[in-house]
Amino acid sequence: MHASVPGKPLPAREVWRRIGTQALVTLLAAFWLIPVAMMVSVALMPSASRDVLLGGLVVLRPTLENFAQVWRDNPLPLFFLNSLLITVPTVVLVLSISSLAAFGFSRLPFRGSGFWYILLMLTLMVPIPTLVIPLFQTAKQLGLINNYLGLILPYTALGIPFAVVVLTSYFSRLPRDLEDAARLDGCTSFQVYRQILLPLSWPAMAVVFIWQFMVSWNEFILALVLMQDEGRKPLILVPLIYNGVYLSKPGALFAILTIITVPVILIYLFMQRYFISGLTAGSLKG
Amino acid sequence: MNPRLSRRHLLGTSAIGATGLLTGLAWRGEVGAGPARSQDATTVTLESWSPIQQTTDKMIAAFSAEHPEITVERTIFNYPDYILDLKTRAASDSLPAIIGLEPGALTQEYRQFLIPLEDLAAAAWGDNWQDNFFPIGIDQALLGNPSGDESFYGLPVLTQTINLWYTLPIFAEAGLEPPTTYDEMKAAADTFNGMGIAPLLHGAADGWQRRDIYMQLAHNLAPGLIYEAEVGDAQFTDAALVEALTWYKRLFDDGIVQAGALGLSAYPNSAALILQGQAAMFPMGAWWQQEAANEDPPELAQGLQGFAPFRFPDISGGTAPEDLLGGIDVMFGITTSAADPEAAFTVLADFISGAGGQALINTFNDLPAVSGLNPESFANDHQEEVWRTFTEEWMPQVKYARQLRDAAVKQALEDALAGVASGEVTPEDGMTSVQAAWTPPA
Amino acid sequence: MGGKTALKAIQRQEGFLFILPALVFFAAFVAYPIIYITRASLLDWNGLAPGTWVGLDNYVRLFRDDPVFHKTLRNAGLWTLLTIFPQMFIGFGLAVLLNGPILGRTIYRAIFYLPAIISPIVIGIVWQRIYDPFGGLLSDVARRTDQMWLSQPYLADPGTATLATIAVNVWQWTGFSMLLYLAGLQGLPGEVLEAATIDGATGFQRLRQIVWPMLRPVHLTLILLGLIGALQTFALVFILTRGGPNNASQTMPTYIFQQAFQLSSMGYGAAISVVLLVVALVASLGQMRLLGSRFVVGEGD
Repeated sequence: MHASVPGKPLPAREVWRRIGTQALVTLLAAFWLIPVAMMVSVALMPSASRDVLLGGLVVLRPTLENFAQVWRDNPLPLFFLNSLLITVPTVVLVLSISSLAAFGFSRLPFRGSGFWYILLMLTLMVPIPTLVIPLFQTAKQLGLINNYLGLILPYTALGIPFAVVVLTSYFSRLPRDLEDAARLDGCTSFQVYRQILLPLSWPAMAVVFIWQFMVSWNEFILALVLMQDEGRKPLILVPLIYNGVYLSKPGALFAILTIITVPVILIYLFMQRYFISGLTAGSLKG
Repeated sequence: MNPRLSRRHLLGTSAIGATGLLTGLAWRGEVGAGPARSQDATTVTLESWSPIQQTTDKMIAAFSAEHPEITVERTIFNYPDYILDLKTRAASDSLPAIIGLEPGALTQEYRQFLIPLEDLAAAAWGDNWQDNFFPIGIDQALLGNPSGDESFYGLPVLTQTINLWYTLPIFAEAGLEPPTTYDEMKAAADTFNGMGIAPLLHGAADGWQRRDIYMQLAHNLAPGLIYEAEVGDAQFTDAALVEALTWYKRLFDDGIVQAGALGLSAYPNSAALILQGQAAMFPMGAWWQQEAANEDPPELAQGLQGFAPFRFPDISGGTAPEDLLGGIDVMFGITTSAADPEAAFTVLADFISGAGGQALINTFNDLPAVSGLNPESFANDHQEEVWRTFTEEWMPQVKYARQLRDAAVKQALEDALAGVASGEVTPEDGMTSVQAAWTPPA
Repeated sequence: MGGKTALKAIQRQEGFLFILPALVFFAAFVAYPIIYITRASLLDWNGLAPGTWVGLDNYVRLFRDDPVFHKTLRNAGLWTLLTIFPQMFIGFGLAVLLNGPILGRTIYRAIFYLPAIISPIVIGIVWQRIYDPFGGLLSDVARRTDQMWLSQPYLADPGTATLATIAVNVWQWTGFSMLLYLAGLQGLPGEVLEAATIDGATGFQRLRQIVWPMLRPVHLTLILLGLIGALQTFALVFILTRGGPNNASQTMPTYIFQQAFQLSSMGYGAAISVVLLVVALVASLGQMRLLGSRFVVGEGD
């Protein structure tokens, strides 16, 4: 690969190569976007669906009517707020508990910590349909049906393992000099955790933040069963109404799909910078 | 001190503060809590997959106008989600007061959680209350009860027949009448295929529609046989039932069912095509009438002007039976968790034949469970005629069920139908697997 | 030295305290489900009425008499092979392309990763519309370009249903592999690559013999996560095919759903769950033992 040297023009072959690569990537990206583009375009589809080509990818007379209808039929701001009230506390809980655990696993090893690590990983291996009934029973025992915590707490439990994997891996690769110095100064472990490790971990925390946000925002199976109070439903449950057996309104359905997807995309775009550096930073030396 | 650190410190603190606030709100459940309930109001909770949410809300509105002291809280799901929710709640002792049921397997599975309703019914409607209902509704409400148990664990709210429909303008254009024999249907199919219209538009991706066609075929060849197989007095592998499966395949091979049917879902896709005029005939039931009542219906559905029902053609070459298959579309039961069973029954009774029931029937959602309940207005004579055909001619004659008792048998049959249609499985092997899925009823 | 040992001892106890909150959540919300399904798997039970003890009968029936279960095992194998490796290779390819002199890298990166953050409900519904042989995207393209082979009932044909669902999954998750590889590529020490160039290695040779092996931790992470993900696939299959037609695309989780909820065989569904759990556990442990676990917990512990 030729690096461009200032003042020196690139050889023609290299220019063609770069153009070719750019074209290839653009083509791939365009294909990759087709499903998402279709989601948006069908959302703009008028109900007389004669003006639609390519299954909905091209809409000849786009309209915002579907969005208006979905807005009329559903208290979207309320559902949006509910989704936030469930997702944000979950993310914060997962971040705090998992970083504590990751610190324990990576910096304060003790006999049997491997066992506990594997035990935590078991969480990832329980199939989702079988979780529903026992989790419902647990939530009921705790009096948390139709309560935000009834979703926040199980979501946290289910999200901890992945976060622990990411954070443990990240912490292990951080250099220890600062910590060793802090300990010599008499810091407790918790102080080391809070004042040294955490500030250095924003990239990895961003990875966990985005991942957990996305997972909790999109989770619908537990939400379906644990949150039936109309006033507390999260946004993700709305498409299920429109995709029901007797309602064939693809325009409205895709409008709500678009509305649900936008916040997660925005969060990702906003945090993208940290996300990438989070994935990169693990391999940086010193 | 690193300035970035202190800014992040600030960010972190405010994040924690905000989360604390949110968590506190979440714990107290303040946000999004429903309107405060009055002291004397009773609340009846209802969960079902049917009727659809919009219709249920109309029913509740009509009910509440007459019974302001009772509040109904409803959650309507899609069917698979409903089953998930129902089972989860039942297993955790958290059932609502009223639950939607299908006759047979579903009702029996939850029988231990349901209260018998006959006394409440007699109190509301008199000792002869059963006479109000179509006979098949009463039969099916008891379907699967252990022998000797004559209690009603649910009462029908909607009934239906399954049959065929045809699109009037298409038949008019082809100069044809709805077929009465298989040969006529095949000849008509050739014409329609030539016109580029699906002869019998079958949403074969959906198991229930495959099963509906099969049940009508089996009813034609050997009325009553499959129900004997269900209780063990016959075998699913008996010749007539295997033959019905063969005829199902023949519908595909003879071009009567459109190409690629297995890839088409009944709802929403085949319904959309039917409404666009792409189907000459289609296998739906009495509930198809509700297409006329949708918001802004397409031209064919307006006033139901484009569609009319007809009986499944005869395939046995002999005399086709006069009666159709059908029965309960949805029934409601009252659970043992109901805080106020009488209030719950008030709701239930109203939904069957009161203001709520009238609101329901006005939507043409399906046929009523009781005779004499008609929509308050018809768009035209044709729509009224179709309604009367269903409620006065066909429904009273229904003897045999559309549904099967056992979920495993139902699943095996639907799988076998798909396998046969795609050529993966022979009819013999298909029915063998159905028999293998069968267990003797309790 | 005595002080340091004492310090280590304290740290050991402290270590446990730090992982304690995570364990509390586990105990409250995961331990009970695991116990629940283990107990249920030994019963003939519909989930409601008291069940009858049948010991290992469910398991025997599962392995010996259940052709649908065998289909799910076969599909699990297909999912594992056809999601993990295509995602890795395509993701690596994309990462290499994006790591070069490209304009607008951030945008492309976002585009390829975008599907991974969208809900499976959304993805399932959209792709149904793409695959729909009656007016969907592919069939419309087929009609217009006269390439009728494009217009298949992808999700309704037993031969293609699983592959069609897998294709959607690959579309969804390749971006994730790409991101991990990008991060890995950007972390590679430049000197090694330059030395190779000086030695005369071509770009492709460099990729294959130096870059690829150096990305081993990424490979292993992707395989581990991919294994668990492939086994656990529920939402996407459920929405696209419901496990049909005729069980062709059934995965273990969708089969569990069918058994436990639709067919009311909770005990049997629980047995399948236990099998899945054990398979996932053995596969993960096996991978970590065979290929090393340092990519997870890092060095120095």
